[in-house]
Parts: sequence; structure tokens; C-alpha cells
Amino acid sequence: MLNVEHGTESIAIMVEGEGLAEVELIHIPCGGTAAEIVAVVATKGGYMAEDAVLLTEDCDQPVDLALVVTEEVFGRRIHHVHRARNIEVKVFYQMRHIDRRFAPSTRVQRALDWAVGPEGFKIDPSIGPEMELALHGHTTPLPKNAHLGRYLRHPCHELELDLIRGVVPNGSCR
Amino acid sequence: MSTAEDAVAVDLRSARFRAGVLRGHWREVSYAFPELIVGVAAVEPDGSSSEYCFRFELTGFPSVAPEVTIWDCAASAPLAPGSRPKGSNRVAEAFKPWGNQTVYRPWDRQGSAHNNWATTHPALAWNASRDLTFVLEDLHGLLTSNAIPRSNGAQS
Repeated sequence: MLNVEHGTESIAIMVEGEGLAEVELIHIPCGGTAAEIVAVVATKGGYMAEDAVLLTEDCDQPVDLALVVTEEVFGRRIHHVHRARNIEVKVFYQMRHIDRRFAPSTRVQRALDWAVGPEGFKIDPSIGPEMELALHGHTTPLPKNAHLGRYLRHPCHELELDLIRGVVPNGSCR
Repeated sequence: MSTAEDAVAVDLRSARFRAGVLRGHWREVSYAFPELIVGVAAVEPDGSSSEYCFRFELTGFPSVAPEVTIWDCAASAPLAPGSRPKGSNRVAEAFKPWGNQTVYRPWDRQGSAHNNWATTHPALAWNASRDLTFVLEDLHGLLTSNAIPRSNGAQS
């Protein structure tokens, strides 16, 4: 989305990242490069931009920081800035655990799909839709669109999660 | 503009709401305070994509929880029971017809007062720090949950 602020055209970019609690909207001046996205998020997160990579949501390969930011390429996807290139995710369920490496730009939903699926705990399809991921030792489900990188800071690159059965509120209500 | 109307406008402009639009998870169908209609993407049990509309009644928002009804836009009425989302017990419970016709979840204005849910389900209960996206994320999660068992060929 193009914006005009203080007489300068800018492109609105949605980002998540290390040090951000939520998805945020930042503005990059037209003609700016991807490196400027990293710089803005790194400043908010309190670390050096030189140490961080830029990723696109649910993609593993870092974005070339020399690319010029355009509405078509950058304005229509959600991006992620993190100092970790990969995260080692460990999911616990019923006295077992499984491991897999994900990019920090991976949504919780993708990790959940893996954890309940044939490469994970092979959860019965009848209860698969009721499963959620929570931080290890906690019971509050993580938002499914949150990026995994939101939950850890460099130099920690390991994220421990629990596969839990979500609540099904019901009662006498006919 | 009322305080509630201001709060709704802030939510509709928020990065959280816009991220859902960008992902194709939901879209604003119409808005004339206090009524907001949102279409939410869904996955049917056969794997096909679809969409369901929801009517948010937002008087007193966010101090007062939204009243959310699964909606038939053509009829301007609650969606007929036979046309409501199908899937797991979780889906069936959330969208079943019940006394108040609203979505049967703890964040709903009617649901929160039901069965002491605000206390027994705090992670799903409404409070004034919540936003519209909190509700939309829950609805989208329910409506797309049919995709999970389809991707799982194994049994346990």
C-alpha cells in the first residue's frame, strides 16, 4: 500500500520479527531497499541490522537485501526479521518428543500441521482439528498465524512446544 | 464518532486485521456502525474452499463483547442450521443453533455470560484488551481445522 507522509511516498510493509510481540506495519520510502526493512525492525528489537536476515512468511530462503522494495513484491506478503536463520523446534506430546528445523518466519499453523501429521505424532483425524501448540509447560494455545521466531531471541535457537488438545466449550444450551 | 466507533475503526486499520486480509483469511464485507459483516475463509470436510459470513454487533465495543452471528448476507438473517459449517465436534459445537443464535464461544457477548465461561475459559473469554482480530483468528482456526486431518494419512 502506497502512503504519502511528510511529502514522501512510502510503501507499507507488514513485518514480524525478533523483538516484536506482534505483526507491525512499517513504512519504507519508495526506492528503499530490503535492507531498510531489516534496519527498522532491528532498531525496534534492539540488535544490529548486520546480524539479521529478512525472510518471507513461511519461506526458508533469506531475501536479497539489495532488492528495491516494491508494492508488488514486498507489500503483498508478510515478512520476518531475525538473527536466527533456522530454529530447532521440539514438540512434546504424551512422553515423547519430535524435532524439526524451521525458518523463524514459519507460522505456528505449519508447525502444528507437521506435529499432528504423518511425519509427526500421527494424531487420529477425529481429534486432529482440536490440537493446538503451546509453549512448553504452558496451556494457552499459541496464535496459529504467529511466526515461530516471535518466541525466541538470538543466541537461543531452540523452541520447545507442547502439543495440547484445545478446549471445546460446551454445555446445556439448546 | 462514539468511543466504540473509534475503537472499531482502530481495529479495522490495525496491522493484525490487515495481515489477515493480506493472507486471505478474512475480508470486510460491509460496515455501518454498530454492524460489521466479515467473510471468513473456510475449508470444508471434502477439502474444498469456501467462506462464511459473520455479523458483528459492536455496541459498547470493546468494553462490551461483540455479539457475533453466523450470517446469511442474502437473507439478512442467521444462517440456516443445515448450511452451517461441518467438521469436528469443535466446529459443530461452535456453530450449532442455540438459544441466542450467536456463535457458541466464550468471547461472544451471549456466550461469555453462559455456563460461567468467562471464568472457566479465560484464554477464549472476552475482555476490553481484546480486538476484532482475536475473534477472527478463532473463527478462521475453527473454519479451516478440517484441513488438518486431510493432511494426515496415518492413524494412531
